[in-house]
Amino acid sequence: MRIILQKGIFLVGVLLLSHLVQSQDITGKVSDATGPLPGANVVVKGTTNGTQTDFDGNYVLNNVNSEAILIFSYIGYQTLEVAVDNRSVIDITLEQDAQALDEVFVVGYGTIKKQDQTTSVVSVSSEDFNRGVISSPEELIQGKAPGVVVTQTNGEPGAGLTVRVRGGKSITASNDPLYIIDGVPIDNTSAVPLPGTGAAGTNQSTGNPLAFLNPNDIASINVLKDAAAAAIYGSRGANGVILITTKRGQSGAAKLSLDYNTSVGWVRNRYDIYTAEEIRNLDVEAAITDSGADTDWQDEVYQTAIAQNLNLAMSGGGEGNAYRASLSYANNEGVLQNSGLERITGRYNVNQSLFDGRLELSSNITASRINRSFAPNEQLGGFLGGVLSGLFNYSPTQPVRNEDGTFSNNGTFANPVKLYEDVSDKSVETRILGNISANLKLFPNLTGTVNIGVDHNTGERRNFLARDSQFRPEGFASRITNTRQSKLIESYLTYDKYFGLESRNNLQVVGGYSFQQFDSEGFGASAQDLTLDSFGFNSFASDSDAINPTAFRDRSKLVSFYGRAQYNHDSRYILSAVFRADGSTRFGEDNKWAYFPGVSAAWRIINEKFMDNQSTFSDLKLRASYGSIGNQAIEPYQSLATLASVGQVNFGDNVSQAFFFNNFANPDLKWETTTTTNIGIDWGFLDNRLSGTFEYYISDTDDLLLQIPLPAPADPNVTLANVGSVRNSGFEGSINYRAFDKRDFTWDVGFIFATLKNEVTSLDSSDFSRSEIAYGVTSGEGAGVDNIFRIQVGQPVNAFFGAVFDGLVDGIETYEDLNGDGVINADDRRFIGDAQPDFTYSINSNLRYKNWDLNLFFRGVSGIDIYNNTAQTFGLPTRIGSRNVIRGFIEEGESTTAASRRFSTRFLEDGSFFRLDNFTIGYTLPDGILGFTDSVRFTLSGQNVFVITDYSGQDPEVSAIASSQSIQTQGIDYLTFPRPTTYSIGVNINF
Amino acid sequence: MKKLEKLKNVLFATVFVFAGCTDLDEELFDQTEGSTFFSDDREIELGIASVYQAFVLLPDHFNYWLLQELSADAVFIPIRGGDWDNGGVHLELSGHTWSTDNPAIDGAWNTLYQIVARANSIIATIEAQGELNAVQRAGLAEAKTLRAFSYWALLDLFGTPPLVTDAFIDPNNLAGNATPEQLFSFVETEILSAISDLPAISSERGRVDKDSARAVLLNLYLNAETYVGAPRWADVISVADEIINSGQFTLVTDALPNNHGANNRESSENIWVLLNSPERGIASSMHFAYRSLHYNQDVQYDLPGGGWNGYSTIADFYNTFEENDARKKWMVEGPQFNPDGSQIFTRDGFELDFTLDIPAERLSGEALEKAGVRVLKYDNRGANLVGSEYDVDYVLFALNEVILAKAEAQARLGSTGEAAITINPIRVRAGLAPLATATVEDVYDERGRELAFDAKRRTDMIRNGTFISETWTFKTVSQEFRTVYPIPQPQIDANPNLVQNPGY
Repeated sequence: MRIILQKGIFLVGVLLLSHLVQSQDITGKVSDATGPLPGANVVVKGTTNGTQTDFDGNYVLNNVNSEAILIFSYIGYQTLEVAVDNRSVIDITLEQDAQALDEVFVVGYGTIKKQDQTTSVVSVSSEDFNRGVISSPEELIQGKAPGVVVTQTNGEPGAGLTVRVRGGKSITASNDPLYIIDGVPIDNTSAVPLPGTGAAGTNQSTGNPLAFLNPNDIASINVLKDAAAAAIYGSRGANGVILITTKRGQSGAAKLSLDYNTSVGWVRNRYDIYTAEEIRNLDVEAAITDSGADTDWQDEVYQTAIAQNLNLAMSGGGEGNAYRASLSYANNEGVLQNSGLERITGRYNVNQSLFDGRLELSSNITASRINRSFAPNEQLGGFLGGVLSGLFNYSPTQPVRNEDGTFSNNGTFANPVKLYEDVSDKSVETRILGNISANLKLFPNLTGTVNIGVDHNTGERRNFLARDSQFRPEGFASRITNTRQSKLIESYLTYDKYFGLESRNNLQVVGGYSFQQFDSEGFGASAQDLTLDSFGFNSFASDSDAINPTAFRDRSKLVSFYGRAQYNHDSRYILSAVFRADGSTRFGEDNKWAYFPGVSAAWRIINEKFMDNQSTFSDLKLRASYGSIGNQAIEPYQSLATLASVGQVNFGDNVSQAFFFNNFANPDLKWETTTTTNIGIDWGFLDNRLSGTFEYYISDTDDLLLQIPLPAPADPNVTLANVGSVRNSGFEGSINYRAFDKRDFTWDVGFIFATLKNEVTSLDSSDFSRSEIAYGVTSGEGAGVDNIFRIQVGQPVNAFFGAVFDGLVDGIETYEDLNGDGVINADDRRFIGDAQPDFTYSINSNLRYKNWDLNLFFRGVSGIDIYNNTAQTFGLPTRIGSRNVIRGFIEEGESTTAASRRFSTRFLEDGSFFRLDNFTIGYTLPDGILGFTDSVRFTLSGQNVFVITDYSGQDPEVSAIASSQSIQTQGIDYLTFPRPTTYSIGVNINF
Repeated sequence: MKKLEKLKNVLFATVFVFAGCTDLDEELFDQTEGSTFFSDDREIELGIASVYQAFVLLPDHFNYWLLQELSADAVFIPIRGGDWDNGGVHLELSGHTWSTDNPAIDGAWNTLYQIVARANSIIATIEAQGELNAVQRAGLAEAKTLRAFSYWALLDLFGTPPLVTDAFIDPNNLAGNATPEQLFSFVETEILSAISDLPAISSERGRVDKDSARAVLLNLYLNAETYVGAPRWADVISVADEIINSGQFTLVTDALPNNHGANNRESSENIWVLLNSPERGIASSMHFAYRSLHYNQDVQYDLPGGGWNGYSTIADFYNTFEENDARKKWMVEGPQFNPDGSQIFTRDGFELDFTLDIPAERLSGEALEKAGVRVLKYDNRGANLVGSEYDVDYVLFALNEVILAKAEAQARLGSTGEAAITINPIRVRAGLAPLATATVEDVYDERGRELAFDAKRRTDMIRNGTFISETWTFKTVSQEFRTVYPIPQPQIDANPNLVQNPGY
């Protein structure tokens, strides 16, 4: 009893004392330039006493010492400290912090401050994008993000690009990253069909599906590289996630921006082939056919490529809303005739804020139409050849046209100039991508979001072969249309709470649901024996012979639940956990659901007390992450025993369809899983004049989706199963240096690099085992049937496997007898190279002097091998005579009549290079010279200006040309569409 | 604010309504779930068609035809500069040094077992129907005949391939090698049981009937000594007589073009053909004219794009034809002219003149594109041609072969006079003098000429003991084990229960 009483007295005393130092309640309102700010933090410095503003921006803080200091903060705004000074009402207006806004990353279902980032995410914003003639968004970040390797397939405008985030991990499933545009995961498969069966002489290209986006509309591109970051996208995240955020308008006065640029491009590095005069004077064993003319077939086949790009954007908005609308037109020619891309893209987005900012509506719509024309550059070894093989198949002594005006014809190969007239190969692609999202603040700390998106993409291929073409006598026409569409509905809740001492603790939790459905269907028909040429690919209506109607349709669905929790203590210790559960129709009955967790943590050492008294470091953060993500990029229905038409047979005068199984049931079929461990350090010295990031990762991909050969009798004789593992590891870094930062003179230099080690670690599972997988063959006359790549445990994927060239005997190739058995055969082969780059790097320099600026961008790759298949085939000396040959690939004494070549080390070359990818000189008119404009800027750009390389082909940067046994081959250079050197001039005017 | 409350409700409703949608069943549109198919006669017909469809690749380049001809003494494919090198896979067949991963060996195995796999499925499905109606019984007999053909060819090529009749293979219980005796007895039993349910004359050309099945049986008996060491000459004669006496077939007056040229679908001599209609978009392997003729014979032979300048004959084989043998027109020799009479030139500007002599495996100089008399048993002239395929039907079995088999059996049994009577119509048709007696060797030689390039030669040479011991251009005496091909390496890799044939 006495004890209780004593305690009571003590309590009263404390209360009295505290009253003496004048505690009081403080109220007020926090706003920004446009109105009240709900959810802003108000906290008493040095205490845990804090609160958040309500929907009207009002707050109440109890028991605040009259001497106390209040801290007002809100994401994206400058933090303010205000002394109470005996006031009881304190109204505050926070100002937006432009710097802070820039430092916010989109990471999937939310944003995160760069300084708080715990995973491997790289962001490239529009001012750092590549410049010049850009056909598709991936080109914007080529060489700009460490570990993200963007390779152009070839020089065709808008050609497909290979994008690999930290190297390819899958052997047969796709290695393409997941693309997300303003929160909508999009289907990145081209809707443009391949040419119809029988459309000989055509190009196998379908173009890049992302080319529908206008590069000028993009504000930033973020890449989620490690598993802990990408795990929020679960079974689609294994190849990295590329988040594209488009530009949005800002409330206020309307702004108008006009960009125009025009360019010329040409083939800088031509093939070194004989001229007519040289051919005539050759002293060789082979007989020389002299048709009397003097033709430079390269002049006939190449053209100067003209490109024009026009972009118009306007933006603005009133109170509570903002819009941006843009229209762009691009017309890019290729350096081969008949090739080009014409694109019109319109984009509109609007943000509307309602109910005092409690409801934010946002909508985006992009509509685009792309017309492409493909050059008849048959890469895949048709006997008549395409325009590029025509360079070597036609003797320079052969005229383009005979005296009577008809095209010359050497009887065996297609005259390349005639090909341009005979073969028409076009596509039309229409894509509409739209989404609308609503963001509702349910409570000050809790926001609900609903996002609905639709992507509709239709592509039509139109092929026509003239009636007198060598490929299809009597002509051929086909039209094939594919439609790919997806629908997305997702909703999630975001909880964001500050608490503890000075509200220095923050907990952010996101959780939600997503449903996406993908539909794909197509129809096509062709006609032969055309009545007239003049109807082109519309020949169906005339009495031509219609053949081969085709149709297909498929569907898949993805249902997901996901969540992320991030706890931040005092911006020093940050912990994050992420989880996604994906249910995919594509997988086996027993494995429909996949679960992907990730955890990560960061320690911001720079914010520790012990770092207060130093000035060397301006930033220092250690971070580590671990997580798993999946790859579900296989076609639908692969786990089912499905039955379909396998062809037709003649029964007498009738045609019967033949039906059989085209797939075996595999109820255990599941996703590939990639588990990544990532450690990183972010650092800055001297007030961040020197800053950068270093990272190291190991990622293991297990349960690879492999085509497993089944022992006979089995039809089909392969099945898809989860077998084997691949390990990727690498060291990545970026270093930025602000060398000068004066008013009139700034110079920034950036260097980024990445290493990549790729290794197959297993080809076994409990059911199946493979000792090796051989795939890929060379192209061209006498092409080998021996596979040139081999996948084997301990080797990288895309490792070349072949004979070792051992010089010439009697003018004919010989190879080393590797096993010493006295016979040279298929057993005398070994691993001879690797088509994946070991090291990629780039150097970026930005120089500004008064109104002039200069940007230089260099990019390099080393430790990569390329097989020069063009040299093997078109450097063959037996071509001397009635055809032509590339010089420089004939060894002294190689027979001009008997030489033949096999795949060996002879034409396997080091494909390392260092190139000036881009330079841009800009001049901005001094303010006020043109009164009606805000700014006027002129630019001169050069792309692909020079390449330093030992590679003897035209360009060392080649990409996949074909797939063999469902594996994409890499590093084969065969009649690659030449990559142009391009110079452009442009003007940008802002009103 | 009321509005806002409503919105809140809508938002929550959206979240929960859609979160309920977790149905992950696949919806199929242009294909069907296999487990429910083949349930009625119509669907069974479609399945049987799939077995026939699998035959299409047999005459393709890296497949059955090449294994039967390139390792024998009639056909050679020289390397012409960069063309036809293919890493030496043709030379290793010709020189009897083939390895276990030769693509033709793999190709033939895969095609023949694809036929087996499809037949196994259809047969199991039909047998599961219980009481069979007439359509089902006929379908069963058809599928069994097609499968028996395939197992006969597998026995002939590989000796000890696995014998599997189950529709589905169990990866944990894979079949090992079968013995030749097992395969022989299986083919014999299956054919004999199928013949009774097969129609005497197939309702549609291209489908098997009693005589097609007998043709398979005939070949099995003809080579019984090779396969299982016990000759069946008397059975050869009786099966041959069944075919001859069926009255369905007659020797046509001129074997070319009637049997192998345009419109050979009408031929009364062909017993079992693979029908080709590329103009209907049906895949086929009929591009023999391309594989053989020169690049610049496009106008002469109406071959768009010109030939591929490959298949040639060996001089010694060509010389077994007498000067006036009508069958010489299956080969193209000498100088070549366009229809307007103008000389055709090689790409190097030499006059195109197909010479008998092939001076080297790897040609050079003037011989590069000229060497080798060309093979044109399937003439494309007058046929519909699409891409590189034309609508001449490929002959698996014909009456001439039945006659020759009977004559051989008679000669083997010592009746050389009867053998001569049997064989003479074939000689007379070729413009040759009839024989008074026909020895085994006479029949062998006649068979070589009459069935030239018909994918019979390797089997015939093995039966007559010439395949290993004789030498011909670019072929020396070879190893004894080369009478059967190796089991393809990928099969050994995929099936641990398979043992490779001896020697490989």
